[in-house]
Amino acid sequence: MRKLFRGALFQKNIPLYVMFAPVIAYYLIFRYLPIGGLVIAFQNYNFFDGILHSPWVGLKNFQMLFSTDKTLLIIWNTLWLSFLNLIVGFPVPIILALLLNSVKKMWYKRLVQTLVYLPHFFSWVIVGGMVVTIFSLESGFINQWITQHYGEPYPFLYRHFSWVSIFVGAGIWKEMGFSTIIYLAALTSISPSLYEAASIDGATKWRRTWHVTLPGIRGTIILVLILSMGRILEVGFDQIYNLRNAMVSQISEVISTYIFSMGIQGGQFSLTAALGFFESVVAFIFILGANLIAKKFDNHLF
Amino acid sequence: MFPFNKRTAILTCAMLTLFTVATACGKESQTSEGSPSKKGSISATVYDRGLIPASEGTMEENRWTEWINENSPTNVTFVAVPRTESKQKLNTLFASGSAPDLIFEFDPNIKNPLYDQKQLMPLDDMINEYSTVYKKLIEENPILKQAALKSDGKMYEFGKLNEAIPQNIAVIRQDWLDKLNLTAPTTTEELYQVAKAFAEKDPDGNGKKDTYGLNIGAGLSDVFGGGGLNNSYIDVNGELVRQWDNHKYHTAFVKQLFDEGIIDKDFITDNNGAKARQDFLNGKTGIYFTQANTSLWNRLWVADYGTLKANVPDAELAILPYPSSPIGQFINWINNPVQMTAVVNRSAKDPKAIMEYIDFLSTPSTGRTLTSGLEGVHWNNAANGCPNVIDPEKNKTETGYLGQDYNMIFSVPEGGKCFFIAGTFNVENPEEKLAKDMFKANLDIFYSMIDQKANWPGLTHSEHLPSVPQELLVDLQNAGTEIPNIFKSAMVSGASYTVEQAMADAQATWDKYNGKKIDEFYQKWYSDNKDHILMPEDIFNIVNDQKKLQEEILK
Amino acid sequence: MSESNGDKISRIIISFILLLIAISCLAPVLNILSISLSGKQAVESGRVLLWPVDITLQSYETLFKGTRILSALGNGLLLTIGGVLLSMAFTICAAYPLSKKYFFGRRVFTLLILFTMVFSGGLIPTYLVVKSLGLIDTYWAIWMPGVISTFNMLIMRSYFEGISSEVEDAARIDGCNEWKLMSKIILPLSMPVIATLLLFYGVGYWNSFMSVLIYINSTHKYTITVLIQQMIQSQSLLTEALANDVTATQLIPEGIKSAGIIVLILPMVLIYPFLQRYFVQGVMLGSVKG
Repeated sequence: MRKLFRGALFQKNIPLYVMFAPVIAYYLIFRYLPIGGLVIAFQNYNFFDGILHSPWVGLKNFQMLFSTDKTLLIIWNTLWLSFLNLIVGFPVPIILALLLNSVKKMWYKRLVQTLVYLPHFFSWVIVGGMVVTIFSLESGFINQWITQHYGEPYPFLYRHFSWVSIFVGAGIWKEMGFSTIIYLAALTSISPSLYEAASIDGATKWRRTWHVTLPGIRGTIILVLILSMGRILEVGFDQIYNLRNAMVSQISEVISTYIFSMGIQGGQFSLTAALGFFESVVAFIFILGANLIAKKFDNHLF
Repeated sequence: MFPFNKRTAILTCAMLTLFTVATACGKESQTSEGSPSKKGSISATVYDRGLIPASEGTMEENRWTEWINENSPTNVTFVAVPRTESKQKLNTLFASGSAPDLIFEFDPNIKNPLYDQKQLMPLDDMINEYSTVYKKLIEENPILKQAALKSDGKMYEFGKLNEAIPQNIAVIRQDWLDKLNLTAPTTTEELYQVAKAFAEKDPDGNGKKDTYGLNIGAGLSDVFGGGGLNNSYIDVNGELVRQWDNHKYHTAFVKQLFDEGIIDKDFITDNNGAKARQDFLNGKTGIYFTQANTSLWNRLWVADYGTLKANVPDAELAILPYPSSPIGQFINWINNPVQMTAVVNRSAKDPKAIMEYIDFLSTPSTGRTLTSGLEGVHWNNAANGCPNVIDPEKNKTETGYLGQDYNMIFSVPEGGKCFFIAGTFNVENPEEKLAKDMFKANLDIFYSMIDQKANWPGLTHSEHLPSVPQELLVDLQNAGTEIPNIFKSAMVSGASYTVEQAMADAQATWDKYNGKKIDEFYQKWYSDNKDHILMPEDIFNIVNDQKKLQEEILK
Repeated sequence: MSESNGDKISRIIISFILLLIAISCLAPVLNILSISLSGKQAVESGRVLLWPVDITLQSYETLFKGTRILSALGNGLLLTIGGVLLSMAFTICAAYPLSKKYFFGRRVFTLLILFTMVFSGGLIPTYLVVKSLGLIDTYWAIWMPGVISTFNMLIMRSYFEGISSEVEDAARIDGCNEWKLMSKIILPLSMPVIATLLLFYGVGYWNSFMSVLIYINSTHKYTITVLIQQMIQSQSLLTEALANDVTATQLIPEGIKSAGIIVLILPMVLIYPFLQRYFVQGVMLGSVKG
């Protein structure tokens, strides 16, 4: 009996493996083969000797990185900013999807949806310019209004707290319309009969949202959350590069900008690879951790 | 969606598998060798800026690359390098061993690491064996050779001589000066007084306090002696002494203007000066510091002056000679007169062909064609002996994308007067006449400053400073971003962050990042190479060499 | 469904909040559009806000006559369409098996795939692989290294998993084999996620910038994104290029850039409504697990 069952299972797996073969080939060739290049984090890499023959230096690159307080500051900044991005930014697309979902007029829903999708296509240079137009000290829209009504303008872009708020807010504004699409797609899979049943029970709108809608997209939410953990040490280079200024330099130097400025002077391939390697290790630990927690809710990835 | 059944599914997946296998076997592209000819063949980079009309082709293949291949002694295959990402592109090309033979690149921060990584070919032998034109050029201008030398004593870069003119200038609203009965400031103290009056005495007469004394623009820090951290040295009896006073006076000056509301309080977030330019064009700025070399000169005096006049019909501009600072009179930054622009890949196969191509590019007639187009087709000789455009519309399409991208190696002074900016103004057009007059006025100020022994803002031109060694690179990079940020913080923080405190912090930061070692490195470089470094006196000499020709053109 | 007063009020508030958000997204587009249509002096004096001043088509003229924008547009579409088809095929081939509980090695494969999401060899090693496969200067070099987005693949997998197993069992009893099950049952039921991924991949390929610059050597294969992004990122590109050209002073760099942005985002805006209907209305089929 058992043998027979196994045989059937094996039979069922054949078509799956036929499908999966090119996927395996892809990951081996284009993802795992280049990972070998990570060895330059343990070398003093140069073009002349190449990856194969550059001198090995062991952990020297890591020692060099972690012996300065600058690196620690940068890692701290990165963690902190991306953590904020996550905490504040993660729920917004979900809320937006719920709001959109509650709109009854189809044309209005589609119009709003199309408009909020647009900012995804602005590059950060443009968004950076807009932020200055709105928040700058003398000519910014907000400060002109404040000056007219209260007198003293407020240096939004120079104070740490307000700058971080603007930084996080700009990122949310730019991406919420695009990120919300995943949840909208997930919402479509909720059966209308569930809403009807809830309505008949006399549930208010809020209760329906809480008891029907949210559980319906729970799987998607948890999945996106776990995958976001993989980016816990990532603060987009373009975003921070175009929004920062001298007054917030202490909190706005992050891993990506640091790699960029080391790159300006050139030749620091090994050092940046070491930093990248560290980033990946941390990200992987976070993903595993998040998955472990998700397991408790029976929604884990693997 | 497409019909998805068993067969297509299997087929698709099988094809994908096949594909990955097939490509794994690989095929080398472009191995076709042309028929053997006497001409050597090389590959060379050319910048791509995306600004070539579709009707002309691409930067790799168009009428000018054809012209080059027909007329030069070498067959050249062009490889486009995106202008904005040339560093990334060149790095991947070199790392994968597929870089072209001849690389044209302005940025020393891209070329120096290539030398450090042993990717470049020394040029001494090929110049000695195969060159005529370029060899003669460096014999007549040994400075070109000196600037090309690297730490092993060999030449690694081809370069060119440029017209030595001010890169940045300051202009002042003469109508405001007249209206307020003021004279142009000659010291930084007077600069402050005039700026204050411009900001507070309502020079535009609209009853609102909405004008700025000046903008924090290109060259303001040079008025106080320059800003570059690794260039802040002076020579005291052969010893390099690190300077902090330049930073101190500059910071204090800007801070005072900021506190008193004389400048735009948003200058820190105006990264590219777009806002400052807008204020200037709207007639809100009294003294405007700006970059004004090459095409920017025309932008300032033809386009921007026109816009300013349209917005404020009474506006009058005059050039403001840099005022003297508490630590002396400094001259405007001069664009690099000896500029290195090309390097050779160490694995290049045919050095002879490369050298012949460089010689070809260094010839004045080639320079003419690759700048203005063909005689009789795109231009005719005008009365003054310089090219006169036949049909501007045609040239816009056919020569507009040339820029200097195909002849980055060509030395302007070799070509004679027609290559100088002064020779390009069309005086029949009143706006260009004005641009020309202003150009002359600017040069007169410039020459008299040199005569009066004005100082260079810094040790020398920063493009001629060497890169610090590997182990100090990250430190210099860190110091170079943090210290300017300290000064900027002091400028905009009012009483809570004094200049004295900022100076102390800056010096502590410098020490923290091995500033002593960096100083020692530059000291050693300076002591070892003092005889052949391009120093300000050399730059001034070049200016004086060109002075006669300039004055003749501008007569 | 009857509506209580509370529901009505909250619906109005929600509509209003959405209106504010929508306006904040529309305003910058209007600004860019206006700049692209305005005259030089108005643009450079900062007088253009949400409506064009001194209307002119000069910026568009320069853009279309002075650059290879049309062929770059075609290239962008080719790169995007080809890439999307390839990516969808690969992604389905990966997501479908991984969504099956009985797939041997499901956990290990997922973990190994997740590993590549955070660990990558970086640009140069990937370039060497692509080069050794002979793909440099072809669009395959842009498609293949990222043909499966792990994020997208997992989204699809999770959607497949959400389709109730009763459907599957019923289909099997009816004699469906694995292929029929996937093509006739699962995929048609997954239109929302397919539409989402079409969009995600499409936008991703459309926006690819660095990979095109690095892997493509022939500039006639450059895409519109490369053309426009270069203009946006370098302030001096437009001015520096035309160093010897006196007529260059008549150009409106800001206007050309803005015109480029409009042309760049237009196809992505036009395509949206066609995909949108799949995740606005969805496929309301009772066969999907709640």
